[in-house]
Amino acid sequence: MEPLTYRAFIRTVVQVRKNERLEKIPVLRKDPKAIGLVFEKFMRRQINFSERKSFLKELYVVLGYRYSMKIFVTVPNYLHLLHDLLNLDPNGDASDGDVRATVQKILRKFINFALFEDDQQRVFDLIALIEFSSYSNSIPLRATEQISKRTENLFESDQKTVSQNFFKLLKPIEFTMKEYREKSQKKLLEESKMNSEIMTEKKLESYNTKKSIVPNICQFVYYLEYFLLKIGATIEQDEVQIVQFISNLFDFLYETQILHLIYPPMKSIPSEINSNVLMKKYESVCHRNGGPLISMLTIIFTVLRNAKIIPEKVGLLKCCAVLLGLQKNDRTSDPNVSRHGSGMKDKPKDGPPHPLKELMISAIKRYPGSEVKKDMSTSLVDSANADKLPDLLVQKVIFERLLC
Amino acid sequence: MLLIYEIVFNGLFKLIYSEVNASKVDSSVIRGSENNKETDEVQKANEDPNGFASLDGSSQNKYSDELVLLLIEIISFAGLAINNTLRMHHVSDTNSTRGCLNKKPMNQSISKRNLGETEIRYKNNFSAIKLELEKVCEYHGEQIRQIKKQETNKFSDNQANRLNKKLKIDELFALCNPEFSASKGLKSGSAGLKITKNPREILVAISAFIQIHREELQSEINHTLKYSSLKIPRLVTHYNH
Repeated sequence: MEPLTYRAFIRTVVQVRKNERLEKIPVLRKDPKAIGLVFEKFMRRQINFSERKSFLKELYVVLGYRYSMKIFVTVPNYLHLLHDLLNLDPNGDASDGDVRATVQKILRKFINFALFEDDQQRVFDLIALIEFSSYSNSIPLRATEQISKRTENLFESDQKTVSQNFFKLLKPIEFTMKEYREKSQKKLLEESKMNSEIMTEKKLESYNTKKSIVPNICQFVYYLEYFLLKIGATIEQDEVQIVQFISNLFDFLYETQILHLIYPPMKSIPSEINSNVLMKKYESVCHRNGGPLISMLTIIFTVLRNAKIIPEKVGLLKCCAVLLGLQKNDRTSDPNVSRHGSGMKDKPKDGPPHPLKELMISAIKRYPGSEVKKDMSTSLVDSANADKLPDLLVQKVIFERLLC
Repeated sequence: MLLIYEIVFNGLFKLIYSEVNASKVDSSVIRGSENNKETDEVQKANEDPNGFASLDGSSQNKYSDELVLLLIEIISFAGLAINNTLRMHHVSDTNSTRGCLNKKPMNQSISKRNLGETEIRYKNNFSAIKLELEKVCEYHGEQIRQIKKQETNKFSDNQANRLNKKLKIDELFALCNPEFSASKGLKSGSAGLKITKNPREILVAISAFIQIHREELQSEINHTLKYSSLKIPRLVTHYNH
């Protein structure tokens, strides 16, 4: 493609707008199909390397604006593009350091949006990206034919193929969580300086209690539980990565107090149930009974059972004690966040009588049930949400491919 | 709340059990080849405090110690409640024909096989989910029926006697928390039980106790906690199979 043709091509999807401060900013045009066509050209390598490099940089810049990100996730083949970026040929595009760095930045933008910014449970798109490779292998289509072939060569078993995107996304997800924590603390510090007030726990809570993060993060924890149970014994092969990720996730959940949420509530279901009743009334109770707390416990024990690295396993055991309120979490970066009930081991006489109960009450106060319950107990067998089931994400991907 | 402690207790015991089994296999492998000169050399190298193998062994011990320490903490905190649940369901379990509770894993295995197939079916046929839910309901209904049946006979004289029966878990709990032994009327030194207050001695005593009585402990804990109190369906694991 000629340079001028390329510029004109890009202009069909990127426009310049003025923001609130009257600064000119590049954003995506509200034309998902045209954008999808550009993505297709990129994935089929119909534009040369320097143009692809330039395209990635421009994409990163436009995705810096929430407006563009909202349009980006409506593009029919945007998951294909992200999958393609995750699996760039190490001897081709990925051999360039700039390209690798830009790809990482784009992925972080997307993860940040999916987990922390969007309130439409966009986390399922992130899960779809993790599960993507298995689908592209099973049904090779034009757009991803090359990727599928490359994937088949790299990985022998389907199971391993499923895992490949997961492990590639661990670092960007970790980075995004860390960035979110740092940003929230920085913002609070700035606010406290401006108002000459002491940073209070209440302020931190109000910042973290964004409606979007609870359902998104919880669904991600549920998915992680599902994924680790699925890969089971093969955890050992990537144990360092997995244990490190879980430790960081644990710290994040602890700091935001999502860890001690038990929605859907952990209660017994009646003795007589049938599938109709279960679908209508009790499905949300049975599904993920006990919320992120029980999921995190399951995750920790699954890894402890299958991993071999001792020091990291000792660290996970400590997480278990922290979760129960028997120990303090001394790894969390924010000393201002106090936890009722934690530190029972350090001060057994002064500590509350029931540390776990105290932690749960504290979490419920921060995330009132009435506000969170609705999002936390999303029905998965309801047809409207069927595509949100991990097993049914395939439908979503296939559907999006048909649109291409 | 108790359920959370039960889950952790059950998970920890399983981990300790597998650690104990693994160490048993290691020592038997070494013992089996005692005459081998090469093995002697390896053993000598292991004894070297600066050797890699010894370092690995000590970290393994540290992990086992941490497992037991956490078990002690949980028992100190919620031991009585966990013990009551265990004891109640153990009585029900031993009093029944065992047929009902032993049937469940079999049903589960059938369910597992079917669920593997359903993963594919989900993708093509949404009604398959309903079919799977019916299986969950059937499994749950059977569980509840058996438990109700047992609970109606729970206070019979025969079972009241069994409630007073000494179990290995009582001894384990007493080792972990000396206060527990007083509440349960266990005497120091009874049934080979030596209750100590020295933390290191407690750790060693518990590890040794679990090693010696692991089979009885496993049957007491696994049968009761797995099939009795932890009966709440969680579909997230169900989709896994």
